[in-house]
Amino acid sequence: MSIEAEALTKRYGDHVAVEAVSFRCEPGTVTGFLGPNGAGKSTTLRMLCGLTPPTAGRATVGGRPYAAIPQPGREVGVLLDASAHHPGRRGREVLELTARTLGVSRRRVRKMLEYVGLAGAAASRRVGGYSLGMRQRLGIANALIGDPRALVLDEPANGLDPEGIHWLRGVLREFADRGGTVLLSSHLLGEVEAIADRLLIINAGRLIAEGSASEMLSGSGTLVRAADGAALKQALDRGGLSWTNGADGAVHVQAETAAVGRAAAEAGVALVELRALERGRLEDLFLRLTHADDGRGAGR
Amino acid sequence: MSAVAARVRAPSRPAPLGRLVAVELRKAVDTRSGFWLLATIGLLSLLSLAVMTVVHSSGERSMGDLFEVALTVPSLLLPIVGILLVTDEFAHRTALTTFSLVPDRRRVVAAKLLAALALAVLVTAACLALTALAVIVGKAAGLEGISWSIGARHFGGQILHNLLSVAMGFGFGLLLLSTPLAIVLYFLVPMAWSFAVTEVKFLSKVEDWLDTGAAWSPLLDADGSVHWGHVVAAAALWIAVPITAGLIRLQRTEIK
Repeated sequence: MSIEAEALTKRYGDHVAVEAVSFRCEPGTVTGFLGPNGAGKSTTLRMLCGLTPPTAGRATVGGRPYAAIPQPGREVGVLLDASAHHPGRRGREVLELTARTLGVSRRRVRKMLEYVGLAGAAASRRVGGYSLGMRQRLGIANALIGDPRALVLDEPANGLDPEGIHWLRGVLREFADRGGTVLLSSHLLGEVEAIADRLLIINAGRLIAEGSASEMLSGSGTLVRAADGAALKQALDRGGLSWTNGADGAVHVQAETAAVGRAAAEAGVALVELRALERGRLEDLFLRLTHADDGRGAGR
Repeated sequence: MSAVAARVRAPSRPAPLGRLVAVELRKAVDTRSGFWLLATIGLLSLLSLAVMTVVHSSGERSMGDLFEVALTVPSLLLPIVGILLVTDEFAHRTALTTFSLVPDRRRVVAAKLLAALALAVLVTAACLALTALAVIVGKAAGLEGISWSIGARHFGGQILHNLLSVAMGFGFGLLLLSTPLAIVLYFLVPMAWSFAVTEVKFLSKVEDWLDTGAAWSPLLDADGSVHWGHVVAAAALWIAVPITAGLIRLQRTEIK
């Protein structure tokens, strides 16, 4: 069951929260929706779940708009805000309510509490006394309780310790390996890097990059810039080097700086900039994006 | 691990309304505050009943009189239960979960309204049971002036009055989506309206029709006559209008 957005747009008056965002998440994949705070991630996810009416565009899950699914909790597990609980309700009761709404058995409640590590005393405590990490676990149990085939999770790793993030990765990996589709958001590169295998990067309401996480994150690359961009790219092609367009006319090359320099020299292209990218183009890009975000965007 | 067990086919129909009503009823009592609100209503009702039965030990006290006393506190506080059923979801943002599980917002509202009405009936019935108990105890203790007399109309009028006030509270909650605002306005606006219709000449003509006090209180009077046109007109203004407007607002609003 795929999750799809087609030119999804949300404007509040003159303010553009989300602008023509399109993507498709396929079964068997965990997609990380990455962007600084206020980039439009939550708004996009709320539009996916029929809670925020889009200004334009459309979103579907399994080919249908979310609101057209008879009992969406049985097909799409949703966690939009782990903190959104009545503080005076017990953890177990939160799951009981969802189980009843969806018509699934009470056994399933117990099973999910065990699955997320909240069985026993923790389940009987009121959510007001839960840590954020416990609320995330409860929210994930709540999303999984209807045995859905897709998951939409907003910042599910927020508040989890490294062990918790490792656990979450296992849960989502298993879900995807069984043919499930996962879309989760995060403002921390370190988190998504640990969990997702595909990435969507959003900034200021626009999708600015997408691709496989390993491609975007792994290996070293080179950033190169020349006054004559076209000539540079020809030179790289001739040298047999694979490249992609970067920001501001820069070119990212999947090769060492020496190889790039040689290719440019052989073609007689004058370079303006040539430097190694430690962790590939993604982190470079993301760090620049989140620089204004008081530095918290940097991976932990 | 078996968290994703053998899959049953996803249902092709929305959850039945009865199931949603049961869930909403449960939400009214499964939080600490919700539980204590209802417990307080029960305890205060019991207390006033005990005082009336035992301490006020002179004069005639029919079961009907005692029932009226038992319901004084519940009819005042039940509307707050109706308000909270809606506003709590927005105060604690559980609306995110509620409306992602049931995207048809009209169904959620219908379930909540039915749950509020069911609570009004249940609380009124519980008060009747307490009153019967008080009569039994009073008679066994040999207290003077206690009798089993209660009219069916009396009982029916009380239930209807409670249904109307809880529905009105619900409407205020739905329209305002804020607990303090809804509670304050629920008590204040009808009061201001009463003041206006008695003081302003051209409004005084509509008082019997559009003032909840004037239109609905005859329901509580065992002997008085009820003008049903007044009852319905006041219900239209104070229940149907807020619920309709609230529903329109909710349909358009963004659940955050």
